[in-house]
Amino acid sequence: MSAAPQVTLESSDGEKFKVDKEVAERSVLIKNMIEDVGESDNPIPLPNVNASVLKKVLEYCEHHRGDPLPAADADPSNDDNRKRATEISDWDQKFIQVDQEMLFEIILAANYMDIKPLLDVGCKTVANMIKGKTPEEIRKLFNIVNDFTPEEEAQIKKENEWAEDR
Amino acid sequence: MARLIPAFILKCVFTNLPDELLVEVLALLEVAEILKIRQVCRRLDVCTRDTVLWRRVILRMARDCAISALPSMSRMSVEELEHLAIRRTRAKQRIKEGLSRQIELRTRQVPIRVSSCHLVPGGQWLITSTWAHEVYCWDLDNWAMKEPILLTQPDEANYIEDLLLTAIDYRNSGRCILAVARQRSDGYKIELYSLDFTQSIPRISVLGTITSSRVYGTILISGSYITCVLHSPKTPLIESLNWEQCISRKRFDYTAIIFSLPPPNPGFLHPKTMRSNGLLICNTWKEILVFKLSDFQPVTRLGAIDPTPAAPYWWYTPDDLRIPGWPSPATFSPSDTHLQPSEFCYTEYLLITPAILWS
Repeated sequence: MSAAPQVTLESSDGEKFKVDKEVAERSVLIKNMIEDVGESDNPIPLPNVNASVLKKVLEYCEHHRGDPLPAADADPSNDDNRKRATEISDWDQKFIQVDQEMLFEIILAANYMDIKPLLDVGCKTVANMIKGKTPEEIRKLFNIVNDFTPEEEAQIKKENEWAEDR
Repeated sequence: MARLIPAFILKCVFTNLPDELLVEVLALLEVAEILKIRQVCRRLDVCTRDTVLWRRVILRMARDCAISALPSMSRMSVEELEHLAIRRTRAKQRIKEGLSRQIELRTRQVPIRVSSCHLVPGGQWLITSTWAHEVYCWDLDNWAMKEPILLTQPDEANYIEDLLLTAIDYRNSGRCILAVARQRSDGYKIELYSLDFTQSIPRISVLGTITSSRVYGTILISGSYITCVLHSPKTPLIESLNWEQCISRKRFDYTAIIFSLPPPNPGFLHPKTMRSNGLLICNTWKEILVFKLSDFQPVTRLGAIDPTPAAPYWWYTPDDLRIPGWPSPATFSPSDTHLQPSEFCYTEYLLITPAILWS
């Protein structure tokens, strides 16, 4: 009886992570790489993901290892099978309670490593942060500088006036 | 540690996410939220003017209210897509506002005898027909103050005893198609008008007239179809006509497809509601029938449910049929998120009946 097959992933800053193949294959990118290269003992390099983010991403993959994989050819515009609106499960909600920088790093990593459910969780979290806030509050939240001229700002505000009093 | 330097400069902040990921986030927001995001900074302003974003928003809106027929989006510009999404949202808002007008509606005594009335999607305009065969349009925003606008003149030569009108929001354009059906001794005549509500005073223009040699029945209009249920006690018939085709071809000869109902014969049919997804709801004295009319395919009988004896038949709403996706009366309120432009029939039906306007 052999142990579950494992693969080694290497982060951008050179740290190596040994994980079950099943866990690593939550990432479509890694799944395809393993299929293309075949079984190998060489570490799989992930030059766009640093160790702290990769650790977090693998934590997610570990927890969701048994989930059914989303259909690879699903039409992205017809995201019926995605959870409605901005619902996030309890575990995912706790998981994603991180500082903003880590949150965006996770979104970038999930996009790069092609882990659709994790990308969804990240995007929904950001959407929930934005909801119900005024433009000024959004600027404060994300530390964004208002780069409109006063005239441009007045113009855009006027165009979208009706949406204000909801 | 040279590789740390770029990481330091490109500190990971919201606006540093690539466009596709920003769109991914924005697509989860309501239309009004997206328009607010637009006011934050230039980068986000640009991201909110994205074809993919608005397509996804429209698809989500359509899915939430189970609209099956969507205008073809593949050729629409980003401005057109945005306009479509905004129109739907605004119409929804105006209906919500319209719902709160209920009490006011009951208070005005009108000097005319109303034979039928229809609330135009959006809730500002009410169209009524009178027993004197005129059609009026009332501005509900100035309900107590303004006199109604006369839309069509009496047509003494072409009526027998009934006049019916009905209205829809035509492709979310702010225009309504008004169909006035007049009964004649040798059949009936449907006059089609376009009503433009985007101006301060509604403007009416004639689209054409359709005549039929058959005996007049009850006419409903929804989507591209005018459907007439003919009151014939032995063999009820449903006629369906694509008025959009009539207008585009400028041919107004009546070329309706006729469906005779499959057995068992339900007897007298009273049509209640027709929805833009092609469902026609009728009731007989015994049961409620739902038919699916799509692209001139034969009528499908979806189901029949016995009405409860306590409620008069005209109070049946689509919910009584327990069709998935329709709001239930218990949860139906101005804040109902299920309330969509496609629910116009339902809304006007709840809001107002001719009896309320009787003087």
